[in-house]
Amino acid sequence: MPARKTQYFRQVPTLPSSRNHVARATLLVALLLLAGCQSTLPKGYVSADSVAIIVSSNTRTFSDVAKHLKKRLGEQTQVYYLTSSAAQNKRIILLLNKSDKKQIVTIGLKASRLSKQLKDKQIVFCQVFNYRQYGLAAPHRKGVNAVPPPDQLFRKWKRLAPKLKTVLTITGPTHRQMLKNARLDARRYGIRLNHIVVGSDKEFVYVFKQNAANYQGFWLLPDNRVLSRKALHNVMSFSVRNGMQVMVFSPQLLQIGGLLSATAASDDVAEQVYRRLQDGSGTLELPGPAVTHLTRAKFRVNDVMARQLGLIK
Amino acid sequence: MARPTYNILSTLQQLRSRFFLLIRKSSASLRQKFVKKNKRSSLIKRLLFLQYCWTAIILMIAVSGVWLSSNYLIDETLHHRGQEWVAELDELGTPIFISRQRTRLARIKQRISSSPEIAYVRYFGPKGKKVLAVYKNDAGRDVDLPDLTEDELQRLNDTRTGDKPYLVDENSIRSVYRVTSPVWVKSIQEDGLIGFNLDNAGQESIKVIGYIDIGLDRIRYARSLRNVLLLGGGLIAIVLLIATLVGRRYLHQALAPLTRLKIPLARLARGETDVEVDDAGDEEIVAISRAIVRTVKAVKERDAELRNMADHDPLTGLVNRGYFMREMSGTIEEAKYSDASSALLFIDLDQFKYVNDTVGHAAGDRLLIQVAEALNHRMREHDVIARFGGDEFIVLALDAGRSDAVGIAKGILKVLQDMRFVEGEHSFNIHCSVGITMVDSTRYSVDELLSQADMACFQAKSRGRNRYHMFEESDHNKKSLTSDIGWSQRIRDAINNDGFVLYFQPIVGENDMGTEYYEVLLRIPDQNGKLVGPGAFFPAAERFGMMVEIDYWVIRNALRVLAEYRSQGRNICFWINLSGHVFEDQALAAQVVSALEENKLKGNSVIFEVTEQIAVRYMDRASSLIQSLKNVGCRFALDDFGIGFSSYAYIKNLPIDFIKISGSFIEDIRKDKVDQVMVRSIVQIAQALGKKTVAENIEGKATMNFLKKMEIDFYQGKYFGEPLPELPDWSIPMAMVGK
Repeated sequence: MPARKTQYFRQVPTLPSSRNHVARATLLVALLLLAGCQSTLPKGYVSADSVAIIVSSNTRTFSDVAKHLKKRLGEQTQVYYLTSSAAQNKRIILLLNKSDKKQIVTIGLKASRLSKQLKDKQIVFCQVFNYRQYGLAAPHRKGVNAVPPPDQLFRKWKRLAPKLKTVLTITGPTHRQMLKNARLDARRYGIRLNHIVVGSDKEFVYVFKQNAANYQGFWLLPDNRVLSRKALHNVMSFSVRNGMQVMVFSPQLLQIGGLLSATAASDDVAEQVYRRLQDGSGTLELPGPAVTHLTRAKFRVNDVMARQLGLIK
Repeated sequence: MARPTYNILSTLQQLRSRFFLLIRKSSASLRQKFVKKNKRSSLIKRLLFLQYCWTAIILMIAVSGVWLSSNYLIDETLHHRGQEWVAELDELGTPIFISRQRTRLARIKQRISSSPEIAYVRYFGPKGKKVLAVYKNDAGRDVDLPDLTEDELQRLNDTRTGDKPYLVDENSIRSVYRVTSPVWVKSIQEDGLIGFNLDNAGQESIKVIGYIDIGLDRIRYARSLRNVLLLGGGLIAIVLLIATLVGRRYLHQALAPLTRLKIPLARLARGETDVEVDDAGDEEIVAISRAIVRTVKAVKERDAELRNMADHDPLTGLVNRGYFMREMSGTIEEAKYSDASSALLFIDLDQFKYVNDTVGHAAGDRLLIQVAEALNHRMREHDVIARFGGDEFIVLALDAGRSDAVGIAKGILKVLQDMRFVEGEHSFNIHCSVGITMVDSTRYSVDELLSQADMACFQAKSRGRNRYHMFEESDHNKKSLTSDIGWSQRIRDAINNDGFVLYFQPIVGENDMGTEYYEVLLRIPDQNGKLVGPGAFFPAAERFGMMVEIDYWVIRNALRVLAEYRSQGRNICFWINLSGHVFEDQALAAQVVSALEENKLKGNSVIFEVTEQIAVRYMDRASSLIQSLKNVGCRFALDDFGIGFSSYAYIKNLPIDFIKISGSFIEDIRKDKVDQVMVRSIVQIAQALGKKTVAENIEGKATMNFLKKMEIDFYQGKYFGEPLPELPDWSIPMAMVGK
């Protein structure tokens, strides 16, 4: 980070001595103001020139985050969209490796995985659910959680379904810690959250159907490793047939029987990324946990299902 | 994927050949059954036979259809059920692939045991070699299950399409329909769930973690098929049987009115016309019934008309000779059983010829009609009155004794005496002679009784006319009567056995040198074998109604002889006499044409002679008949012209070619001026009408020379030749003409 500061100051023009007192006084005030401002900056200063953004694909979920982040960082922030062409993607990596960008934001799993090829860069990833699975967490590579804060999820759900007491969630491996914390959050609202780990979509469906009778709600997390289209449809239709409340990770799943959707707010994601960039400015390693939590969630309720389940009139 | 098409073609061929064999056999036996009793089959039987055939065909088609569709449906069902079972067992078998917990198989067994269609289930490991779990029921227990082949594994591992493959094997195990499928796990790739899109959740990665191999019990399905076939076939057969029975009954009911028509039609065919036809049934049958009714009515009317024509004289309306003879026979027959007698009265008008000659034949006909009406008025209703021809009437007075008969005769005489016949300015007193004979036994035949009455009438005439005479045995000795009867028998024999003899008398044409002309004359041997002329037997022939037959005999035999002579190269033409009776026969023209064709003769080799009196009497009929024969080339001559105060108008209207001047004008022509004038005028008229003349009875050269001046075309008489049984040499008569 000192290098960046140095660079910053290099960009400030050196004023020539002037006999004009007014001019000198003005320069002095300006310097004093600059000195004052500098003293109010957060721990690290993040410049658009030193940050590049790599986006996995041009989907709205990812591009919205990039847009917010660019807005936060400055319009001159360079944004790279990956394509289906591996060669082109590799050229982006080569370009970034040669550039003086020190902080790289990766949005989505594909970009995050590709960022492993970057040398001497600080990486902040976001919108990645299975970051452990792909070994993304490292001292210089940390991210923002893809799942909205469980506390808010359960609060909202409980408000919608006051009688909700038991919730099941099924994921692949490597999410125990996150769900351990989520279980604590759920308990605050009188909800018992159980987590079962499965190895495939087939097992997912089987386990879900075997256990569904014991739970009032099901928290469907976006674990692509154990979900397939067929499994999604199977689980959703089974839950509808059996009157089970399902909290889903995408509003689109409300169309096939989800009760409540909770998604990360793209501006919140951008804000949390920005904070991580700030925290990590000036150093190669990023301080803090592997992923930091989001602060807000966007909710949507399926009124039809809610009515069907007797939650609203 | 293999489709269920095995054996269908061969099965269809077998079915087809069996079907046609069955049809042939059944149709043959049914035909035999139906045709055995009556060689001519009935309509109902034909329709029923057709119905049975159709029923059998429909049954065959229905059963075949059920069989084929059931087979197809079973294959389809096996296919779909196989896929459904694989999908269900895939999910149920998840623990096997997750934890290798064999104990979990109990749940699968519990599920399958309620579905006996599953013969076996096998779960294979990811390499397809190791069987992780297996289940078999009774049907699958004895089956030797094959391993998954490399080829099968290769096809099962194909995940490119994203659709799970199902391998169907129908042949490796005959009793089992085998379905094999891989067990897949899928996952959405990488970022697919962040910013999830329901319609496009990104690509999925597929991994094969094992295989399911199930077998469906085909025998169980086949058994079901057989049961369905039996049940369906049975139901169809019952429905068709009911339909057939109902149809049979309906057919019988519908055609019953048609069948009932058989009886009236049979009676009609037998000639009975008093038949009643039932006006019932359907529209078509009613139409037939009504047509039959109309036909019966028409037949009745025509029958009555024909009977009337056959039995009645067309001029007077009285019964004719044939009818009268039948009545007479009946009366004689009744005389066997009854003592009652009847009387036969023969009536001959005395002035008829005079009336005819004075005021013409039409007036004569009117006189006959008037006499007939008078007789009808006089006689009782049940008496039989007939016209026998010419001016002869005959009456059969039933239940009349001798005195009654005399009274009747007197009554008839009185009626006719009182009757005056007025024609224009002429007025005639009509008288008649009546001959009576009694019919009181079977001793005499009809012909004999008629002869007796005729002879009695003759006696009455002989005694001065306008009187009656009762026949007495003494009037007519037995010998004479027997002779009269004998003539009729000889004529009959001559007709039947060609007993007549033809004679030929030359007719010489002055301007027709190339042709020989001969008049054909008829002779018959009498009881002594001597040939006699027509004058001897024609009265009897007329009396016994045999003139037409004699005419036909003459035509037939004369043309035969003519053909023989013409075949010798002689150009001969025959003149053949026709009686008046033949004009009453409609078949004359056809008979002549037939005889000409039979002898390969042209019509112009024959000239028919009719007397002036006959031609005039049957003017209308004679004209058309003459014209029809002239159409085939025949020619006609008017015989004995001049003796009956003939009107020249007749020869103008009749389509004749020759006029034979009566011999009575020729015999004394050299001396009698009137005869000369008569002959000359006849010749002039004939020439004016384009007709040729013939002079008869030329007995000497002087007469011949006299006649030559009168420009007569043909000559005939003893001078040129007597009638001979064979044709003379043509040179002789020609030389006598003097050319």
